[in-house]
Amino acid sequence: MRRRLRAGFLLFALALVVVLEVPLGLSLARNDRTTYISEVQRDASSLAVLVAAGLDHRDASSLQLTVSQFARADAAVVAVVSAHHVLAAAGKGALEELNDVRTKVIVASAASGHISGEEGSDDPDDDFLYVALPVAVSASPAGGRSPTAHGGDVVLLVAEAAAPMHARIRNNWIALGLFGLGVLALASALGALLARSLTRPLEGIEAAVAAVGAGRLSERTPVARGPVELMALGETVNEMADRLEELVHTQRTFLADASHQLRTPLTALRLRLENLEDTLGPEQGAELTAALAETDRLSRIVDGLLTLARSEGSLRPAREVVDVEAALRDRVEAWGALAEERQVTLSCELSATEPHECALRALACAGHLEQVLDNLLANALEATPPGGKVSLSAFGLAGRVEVHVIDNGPGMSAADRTRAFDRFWRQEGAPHGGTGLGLAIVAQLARISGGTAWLDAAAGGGVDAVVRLEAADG
Amino acid sequence: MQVLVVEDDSAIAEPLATGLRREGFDVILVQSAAAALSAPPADLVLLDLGLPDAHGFEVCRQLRARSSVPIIIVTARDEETDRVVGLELGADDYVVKPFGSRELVARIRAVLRRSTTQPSGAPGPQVIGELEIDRRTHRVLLAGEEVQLTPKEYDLLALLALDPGAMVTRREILAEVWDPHWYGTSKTVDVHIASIRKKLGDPKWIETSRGVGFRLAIPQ
Repeated sequence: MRRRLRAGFLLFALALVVVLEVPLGLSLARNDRTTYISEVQRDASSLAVLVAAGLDHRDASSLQLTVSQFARADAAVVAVVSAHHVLAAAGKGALEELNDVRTKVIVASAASGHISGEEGSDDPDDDFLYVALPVAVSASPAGGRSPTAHGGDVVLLVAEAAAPMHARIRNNWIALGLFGLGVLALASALGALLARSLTRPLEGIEAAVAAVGAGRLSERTPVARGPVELMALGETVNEMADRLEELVHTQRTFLADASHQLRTPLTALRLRLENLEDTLGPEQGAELTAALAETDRLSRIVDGLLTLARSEGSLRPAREVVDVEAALRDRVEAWGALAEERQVTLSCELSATEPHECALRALACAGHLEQVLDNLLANALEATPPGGKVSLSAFGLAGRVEVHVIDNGPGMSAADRTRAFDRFWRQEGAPHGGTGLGLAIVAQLARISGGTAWLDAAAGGGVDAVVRLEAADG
Repeated sequence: MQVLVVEDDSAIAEPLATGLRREGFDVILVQSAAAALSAPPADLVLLDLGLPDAHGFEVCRQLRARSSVPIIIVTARDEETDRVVGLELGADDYVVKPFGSRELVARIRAVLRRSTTQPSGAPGPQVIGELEIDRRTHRVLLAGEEVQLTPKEYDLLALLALDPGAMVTRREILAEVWDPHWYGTSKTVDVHIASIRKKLGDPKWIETSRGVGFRLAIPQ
């Protein structure tokens, strides 16, 4: 946004500079040209008087002298020409100039009247400004001869190099250009200041929102400075953060209360049941044991619900890079002994069918993958009959890491595989004592870690539990 | 043996006192911090954290300041920080609700054993048959050979060994050994039990009572 504001400001200034400076430059150039040519005209007019006088006296050498003096003084080319005859010429390369076709055309057109202008050529150094005018020869007292005796009308041609004029015009353009650059620099600096004044409050708001999002709920953005709209936005954001903090606080208080209020009667129930122990016969004793097992189960359900509520209510904890391979190996080692007791083969394949692109590293919240694997392994082991097998595998594919826990138990119907994630859903004929919360918690933890979990049918007839997480290395 | 029970909720206090009396303890029941601090000296204090007139931590601190009486904190809070603060303030153990009286009695006995047999504060290893458990160094020896246990396995074995032969339920194990925020499954316990059995070389060390729990037993 800062860069955009600055670019916009700069572009606006550029347009302004172009619109104002180009016509100004053009008009200055036109002025300069007029000034220069009128100077040449003035020179030519005064010279014409002298030339006319010279012609009257038919004094060729004095004519030449006049012309040469003028040419030296003004660094110009001067020629006095009758129709086909150069009467006098002076100045740099005067004769070559006069043989030039362009010069002849000028002289010819000037016979009938005063003309002036600029002649360009391939080489800008050869450009010249010229004035050509017919010299009026008065009816001479020295015999009434007219210049036509020399073979036609006499034309005075004064040409001066255009280079000084060009230099002046160029300098004007350079001065305008420099001024324009100055304006742009100023605009850029002002644009940066403006952008800063706009983005600074926004950055403050952004930082506060990010902090609140990351769980630092007491963070607020300062609203004392900046544009009114942004101050209003800042206030709104702060109000939102206040509300959020209040809600999270209420929720935490509720969880703490619920946990206390549920656990206290459970403890009382348990203590009273245990106190009955010695007073009962063996038959009632079995009932008591069953009753105690039920209080255990109730405790587990309370724990599970609180776990779910806590993970729903809390803000998402930061994810970290988890070494999936290490986690799987660790779980297999932990569960190996129990699988052995149950006569179930537990295997772990890390590069099973797909070649993994990188080390198997995924993004997940601390401890989540382990809890998910434990729940899935518990289910798999429960479903697998003695002599069966449970296999774990993981592979990375297109920015994701998939972990599979496959059993070769009796399997589940497609509908059951979906419903299994519902809270308190328990498979028909499942052993007594479960809470029905295991897979709900698996799905929730996977979701909080930015992944998904689902059940597929395994090729061998069992269930293929899949957890998909985001890969850590892109 | 006198036990001072500081608990304001009579729904808990009454059955708790009944259970402890049945186990042979003399129980003095008080319901407030003030009463706890003015009660006659006892051999052990069971202290609930949620008291009406003061925080249990404050009672714990004051009791500890004037005597070395063993203190077991009882609470429904399961925050890790509470546990740490309680132990830092001088409590000897920490029991989270819901708990059973068997578990509590086992803990009381263990705390008393530590405080009476090792007044120097350097408890020696507990010996159960060929098994030696050193709670100070967290080492376990079997027939003189060190058994390599993970921290969780050690905690579990140590819990079972608090009262060898007594049944400890899965829930008690989960509540004690695992972080209360952890939701594995109760299978997690089986996993570690199986692993300990394997490391001890004889499955008979830990007996399973299906659907109830586990007990530590000396293989015959």
